[in-house]
Amino acid sequence: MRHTNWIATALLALVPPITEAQIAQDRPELCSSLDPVPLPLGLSAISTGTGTDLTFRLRDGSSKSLQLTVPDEIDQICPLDRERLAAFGGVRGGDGYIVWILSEQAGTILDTIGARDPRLSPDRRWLIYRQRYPTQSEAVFEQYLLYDLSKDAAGNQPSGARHEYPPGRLVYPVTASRARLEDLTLTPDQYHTFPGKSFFWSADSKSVASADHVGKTTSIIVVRIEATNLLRTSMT
Amino acid sequence: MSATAYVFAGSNCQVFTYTLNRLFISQTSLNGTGLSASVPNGFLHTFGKGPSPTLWSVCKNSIPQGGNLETGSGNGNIFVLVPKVAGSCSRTLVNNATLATNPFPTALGTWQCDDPVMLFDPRNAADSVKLVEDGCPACSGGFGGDQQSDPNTVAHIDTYTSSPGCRAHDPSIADYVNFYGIRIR
Repeated sequence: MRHTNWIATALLALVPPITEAQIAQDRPELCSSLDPVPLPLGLSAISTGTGTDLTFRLRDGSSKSLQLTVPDEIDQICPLDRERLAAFGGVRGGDGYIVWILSEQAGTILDTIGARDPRLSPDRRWLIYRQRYPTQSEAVFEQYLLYDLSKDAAGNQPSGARHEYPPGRLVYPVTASRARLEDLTLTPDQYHTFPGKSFFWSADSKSVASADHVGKTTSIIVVRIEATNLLRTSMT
Repeated sequence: MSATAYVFAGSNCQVFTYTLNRLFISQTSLNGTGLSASVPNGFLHTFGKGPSPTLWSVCKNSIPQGGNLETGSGNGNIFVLVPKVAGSCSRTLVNNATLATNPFPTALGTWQCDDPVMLFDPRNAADSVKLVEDGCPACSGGFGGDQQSDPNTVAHIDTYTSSPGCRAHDPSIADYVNFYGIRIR
């Protein structure tokens, strides 16, 4: 009997489970909302064992599926302007998110962001997050990045970059010309860690705060997003 | 569903190419380490300043055409070959002797790589001294979900096991129960 059970288990393991997946929509804080965020109409999801197939019903009545790979499930989908969506898929082991920026109109992936502690601003113009480095790698630095959702994927890459970077603008730590830490020789005072559980946006989407830890010093970081699109960082 | 993976095999920056399952490449790059029967002599480890700092410093200008650095979303396809599984401190993990913590060990953080931690059992008897060599993303919460869970536990430290069991909460991997850990520095 035990042998039979083992074979059944083995067969199940060989066939990737294909099941109706629930888009939990239970993390409205990712959308900067205190209230539940309704799932946009026409969206459905199927878990394939290697990711999630997200199916859109397009305007012409047809449907289109995208495979969103790797994460276990879609935790939250946030509607954006210009018929776009931000889909947050949790990485296995609870180690951050893959955030897909999707075109609801075309059923396509516009950009993909690997993030820890991502938070959309209340006006959903910005996405702040910690750069996600591989789980089994040394955390030699922390970078807090701000993705501008009014721009496309190319507009969120550093100008003149020779290779692809985690998208967005470096807002902390402060470096000359916002150079990425990957491109600098780091000193111990640049080894930041993130002691908090989240970023916190102001209601007007003009400031975002978080805790930051360097050495024995823990600070509150406030990033102010000016109307001129310039960013200034202060510590208290 | 296959794709090309680029593998630096040593400090001379020689690159080998392999055709591997696309999802395996993505998951390995996202996770940091993976093992493929198609790649002899070691494990694949994500190439980058954080994941592989030593080889990064000498090979960062030798990225092959078609190679993509990992940016956090499983999009990388460049690896280095390492002889054993390494933790976030890029050092070899040892069965029942190395620990994984949350927050991840950093140069000046709460936990630092190679921090010794003395463990005392529930009877207050010294058990062992183990070294912090890895980060544990899921260790910021209590160790719940089974009969040995403790509602008073607000976080936990994982001990590395070389058990080949691969299921979450695999019964072949015994819980170390509630030890008390004292960091020695």
